[in-house]
Amino acid sequence: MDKKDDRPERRAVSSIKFRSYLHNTIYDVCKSRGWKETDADLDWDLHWADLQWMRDVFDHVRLEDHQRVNHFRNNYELTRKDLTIKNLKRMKKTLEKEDKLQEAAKFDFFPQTYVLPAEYGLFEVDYKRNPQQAWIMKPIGKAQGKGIFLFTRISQISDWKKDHKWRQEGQQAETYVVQRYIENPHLVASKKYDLRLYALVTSYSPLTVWLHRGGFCRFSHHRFSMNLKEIDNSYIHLTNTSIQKTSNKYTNSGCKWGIRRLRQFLISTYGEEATNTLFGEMQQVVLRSLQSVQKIMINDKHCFELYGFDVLVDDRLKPWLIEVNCAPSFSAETPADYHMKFNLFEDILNILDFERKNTGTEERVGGFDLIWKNGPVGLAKGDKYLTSYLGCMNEKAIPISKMKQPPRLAASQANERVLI
Amino acid sequence: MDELGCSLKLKNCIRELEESAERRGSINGSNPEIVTAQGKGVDASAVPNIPKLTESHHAISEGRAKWRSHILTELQGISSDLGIPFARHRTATTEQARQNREAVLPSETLPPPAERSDGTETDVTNTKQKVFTRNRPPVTARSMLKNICDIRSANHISNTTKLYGWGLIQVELQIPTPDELTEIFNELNPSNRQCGVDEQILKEKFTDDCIRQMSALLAKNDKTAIRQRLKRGAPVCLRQAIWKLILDPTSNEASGNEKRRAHLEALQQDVLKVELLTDDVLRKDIRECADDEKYFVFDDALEKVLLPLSRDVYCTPYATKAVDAIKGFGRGSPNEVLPAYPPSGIIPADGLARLCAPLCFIFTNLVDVYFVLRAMYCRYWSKLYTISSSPSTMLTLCKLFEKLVHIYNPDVAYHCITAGIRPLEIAFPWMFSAFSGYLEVDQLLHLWDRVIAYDNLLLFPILAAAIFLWRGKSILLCDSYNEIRHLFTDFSKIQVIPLLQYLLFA
Repeated sequence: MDKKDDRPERRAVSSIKFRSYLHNTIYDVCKSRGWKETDADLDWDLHWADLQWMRDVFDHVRLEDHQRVNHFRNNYELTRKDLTIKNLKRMKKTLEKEDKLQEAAKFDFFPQTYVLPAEYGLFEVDYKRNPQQAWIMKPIGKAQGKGIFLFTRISQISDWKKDHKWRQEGQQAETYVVQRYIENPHLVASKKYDLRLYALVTSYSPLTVWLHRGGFCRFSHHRFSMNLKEIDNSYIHLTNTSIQKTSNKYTNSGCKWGIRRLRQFLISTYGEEATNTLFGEMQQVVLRSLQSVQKIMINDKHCFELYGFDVLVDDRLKPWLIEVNCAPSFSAETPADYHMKFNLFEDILNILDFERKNTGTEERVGGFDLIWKNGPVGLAKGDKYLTSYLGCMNEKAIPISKMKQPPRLAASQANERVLI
Repeated sequence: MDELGCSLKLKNCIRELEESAERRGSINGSNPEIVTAQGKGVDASAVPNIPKLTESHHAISEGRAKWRSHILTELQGISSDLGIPFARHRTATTEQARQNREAVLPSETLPPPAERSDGTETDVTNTKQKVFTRNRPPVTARSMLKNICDIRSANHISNTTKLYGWGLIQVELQIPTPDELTEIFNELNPSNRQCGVDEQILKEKFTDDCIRQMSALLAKNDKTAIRQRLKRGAPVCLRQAIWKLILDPTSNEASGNEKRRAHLEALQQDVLKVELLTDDVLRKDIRECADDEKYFVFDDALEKVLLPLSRDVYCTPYATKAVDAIKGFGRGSPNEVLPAYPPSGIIPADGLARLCAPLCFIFTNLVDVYFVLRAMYCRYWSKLYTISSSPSTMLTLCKLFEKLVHIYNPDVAYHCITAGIRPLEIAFPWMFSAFSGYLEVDQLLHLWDRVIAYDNLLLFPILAAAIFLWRGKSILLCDSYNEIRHLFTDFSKIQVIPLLQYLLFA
């Protein structure tokens, strides 16, 4: 049979409608493809929705086959800090019960975490056993590093307890997670950094995961030190861009490196094998986190989601999961940032294939590599040279010179040249 | 003697003596035995040393002297602008003064090359600009280029014919011909497998072979074999070991590490004790280097390495070949003379920090970075700041560049001249900074691999000419000076090895 007849008809580009609550890179990409913007309730092909819409409207509407929305209904199972940990711990226990001890042991990429106020007792026991350990406190509902602080003495948080009217009953209390602080992060020129990886999930059943080759590292501008006197210096310990921007050492060069440059740096300084292992493990961190929520996510053929994984590497070159973001920012601060996010979104739209150009058997679309489709895809694990395409060159990216920057960025003074 | 016009004649005589002695030496082999009229051999050491001129070409030595006095005036200017002496001991008050200066200075940077509308160049010594460039480096690309172009030989043919030719360099120098270049750089031939271009085509098998061969050579510690193999490039993961072996042999000795660390620490102690004027200039340079998105992470490391480097006396014989030593006189006794200021003789140039930053991509240990930087400066980078007729220094590099552009792309060269800009004006900053702030780091390191392997800088003008060749069509479409300048701002797509091969072998 002629294969062409099986494929659905191609759609005219101008017939595709999109609705987006954001007017940034997303809007630019859709417009550049010739799509039409709409704010109709249901007459769209792609809806880049905010979480509010998902909570309020999604359950009550019936969508057509071709319509896609950018979130899963219960994505908080993966992205809320306390639920991420709960699901990972549960996955580990399940594997141990099934006697798959080796598999279970690999779920060691998240630091010991307790949810407060519920697990305060357990936390206290652990604290007393390790009095030298530093801990980090994070509110579960906030982003951009707000409300995060470090401490070494439990009295420091009992002070906070008083200030925030925290009640032990757990009613209307602001939930926090307290985690073992990773005191030995990998440093580049004595500076701490963390990585942002992008993973696109187009379905949870079967689990289909695409991992983006690019991504970036955010650096702190200050020398890292575990000196107790500097434990509350956010500039040293927290690498969020929003915090580092306010530092007096922040210059026009920004604070980011593309992951490709980091990979080259690591190959130069640690060698091929160690770097390969590290990036392969990072890919596994992403996969295992997604596998841990696979069974409880409400799958819907209309849903897809782009996750931003924050990963920290320690000085033994082991990756740790910090958190997962369900709505990674698409606003660009510099032209290079815009270039990267434009390519990222363009690739997402190519994977979703509204224009019906794909054959369905692709393993690489733009900067995305298919790493899991009901089973591992792509590079065989244990390959000597390449365990992951993460950090490899993306030659299919639209070059920055061919991209028209929005007016506010065209005049930017930033020195960032290229993040891909 | 000058009045009698004899000084030039004397220099010519000395030059002839030199050349004939060299010729005799080469005929009799490596051990020159002077044969007297009676046919008896005489030990060479009995013959007095031949006086060697640093610079035998009269016009160039004048240019050299002018360059040196320019630098000296710049240093004195900086000293008076900032209000600090050339050197003094650090105390609490001086530290406070330094912090006050640093709080004010970040906003002052060198103005970019002025966009010319009427074809005249703005004078850098314009007083208005002086106010805003208090902390300018004494050695900048623009000032060096200006000095080089001002060198005019008294007997150059242009004095009579008034035909100045297309090039900016108005002295005749001996430079290799394209055929000679092809021979020298024969290892870069496309028929040989190269790191830097063949990894993408041949992928894993090639990298694996490369790594295996290099590791075997490293295990044998065979410097010449490794250098020969390095002409085809180095695999990224082994670069650290290879560069250390070639440039810094003491690192492999047993007690070597201790001695090296002690040496660096002693220099760092010296930094803490004495404050030099050049420290300020270097700090400013580091801050500008940190503005580059590739190198901003390394600003702390750069400070720890560059400031001690300016005090390391090891570099003095090499650095003073570039610029004759500026002697310092202490305020104490009149006999207190510093043989060179700053102690290493390295006058901070614009972009010195950028020569060090790529090394931080290879070595994590600061001691390694320091010693490799020192070796590279002494062997290669000091030549970039030298005005001299010896091969591989800046003048010959510039001359070679111009010649290559004129041979391979005469229409482009002519078009540029009619638009009001010479190709050398665009390419000079690239060569001056060893391409460091321009190329992507991995490409830059491939280029520097070859520089170390071939032990000369001829690759810089070849690469610059190749870039011109590559952009040739686009240049012909440009109309104005600004457009041409704009064409060359983006280096992200440039792949070094294919370009070099294109020029040399195509």
